[in-house]
Amino acid sequence: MATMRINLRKIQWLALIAALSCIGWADSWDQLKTTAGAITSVQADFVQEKHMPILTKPLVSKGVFYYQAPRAVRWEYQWPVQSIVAMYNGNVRRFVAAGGQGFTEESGGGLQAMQVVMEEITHWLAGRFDDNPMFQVRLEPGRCIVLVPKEEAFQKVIQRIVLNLGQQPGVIRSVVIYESENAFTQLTFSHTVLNARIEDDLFKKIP
Amino acid sequence: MRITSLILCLPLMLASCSHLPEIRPAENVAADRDAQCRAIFPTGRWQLVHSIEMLPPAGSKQTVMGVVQLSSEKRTFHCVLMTIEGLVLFEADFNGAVTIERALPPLDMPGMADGIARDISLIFLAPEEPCAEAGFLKDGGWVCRHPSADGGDEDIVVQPDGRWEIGCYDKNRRLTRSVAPLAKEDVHAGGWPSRVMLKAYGLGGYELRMSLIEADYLGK
Repeated sequence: MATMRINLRKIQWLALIAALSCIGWADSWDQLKTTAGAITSVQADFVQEKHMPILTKPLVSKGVFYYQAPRAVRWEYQWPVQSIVAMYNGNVRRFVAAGGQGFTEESGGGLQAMQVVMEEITHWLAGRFDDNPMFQVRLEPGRCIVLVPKEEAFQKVIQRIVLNLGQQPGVIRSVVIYESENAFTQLTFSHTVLNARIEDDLFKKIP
Repeated sequence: MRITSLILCLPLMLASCSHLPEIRPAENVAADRDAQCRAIFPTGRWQLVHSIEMLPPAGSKQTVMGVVQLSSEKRTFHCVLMTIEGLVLFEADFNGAVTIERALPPLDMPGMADGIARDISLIFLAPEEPCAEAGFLKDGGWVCRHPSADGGDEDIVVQPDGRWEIGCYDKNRRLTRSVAPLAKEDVHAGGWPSRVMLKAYGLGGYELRMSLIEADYLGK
């Protein structure tokens, strides 16, 4: 069961941040890897919409994402719940500020799995996007990447992930994570900035 | 070491258990007292979205998002628990019995779905049984006592200043759950408390601190 928990977390984070690893506009894996290799940092705003049949309207969250090569990541939700998962030098920490109170660190069982996943994210951001054995990955026309979990058990959790790349190299337009045909999470990215200097403190010093 | 500590603490834990409080019958009570007790629950069909801090008996707090779509008239609800990142961990329907649509580990453990449904019912649905006893508590609060299907009781206590608390007691009259707003003044635009805390007592007890994000009225 512990392995299953780790894998579920892993899939979730793979799904959420896979989009940001696809930082080079490309029509082939080779182009994608070449472009990704030149990226030193990424920062972008995102809007997350959760769609489910029972919801009268999508559940919306907003936040920002930062990546600094080679191994620093900060995935931050700012609204309606403030949550930060940050990795620096391979050390992953999670902080949540719920109920209008300050940030407190959450170090439950899921954190260990996140550490594994965040490491993998940095591999992807380096362009080794189709290396992950957990997914069948295909690059479709129109700068669209589709990831399908190989294992049936994982497909019951996440059916597939669709990444839509922007026209500008390095810009991701959106990622859609399908749990079923009518239940999915859509992340739409904007204001993407590539290769800007990001201070290390952003990944090390969480409020 | 932990087991030893637990054994040493057990007598203290049992001694600290709250029991069903005594009710002082009241005379010339206004007829709206029972309505006042029931007024703490949503009426009609609502969709409520909360962030939920789950504090287990051991280990770190975890924060998830919870969506409840309920009908007070039918006493039914559909609930979803998901991570902040949107991954659905648990989804179920309650219509007298629980129908699980999705449950990922560890929320797929036996009894977990029934426990979640029981907590949601306690927080959001008025007691099914009518008030069997009412009166004042020692502290001046007005209490409406409703028998539960399991032989226990559900107390709804409303203080003169408007503060309220729900207490759930087992057939041995021991407190098993309590629900109360975290701050009286902290009220959402929909009229519900912005922050509510559920406490489950006894071994394996836990806390849920719920912060209301959205409250949408869906009609009668």
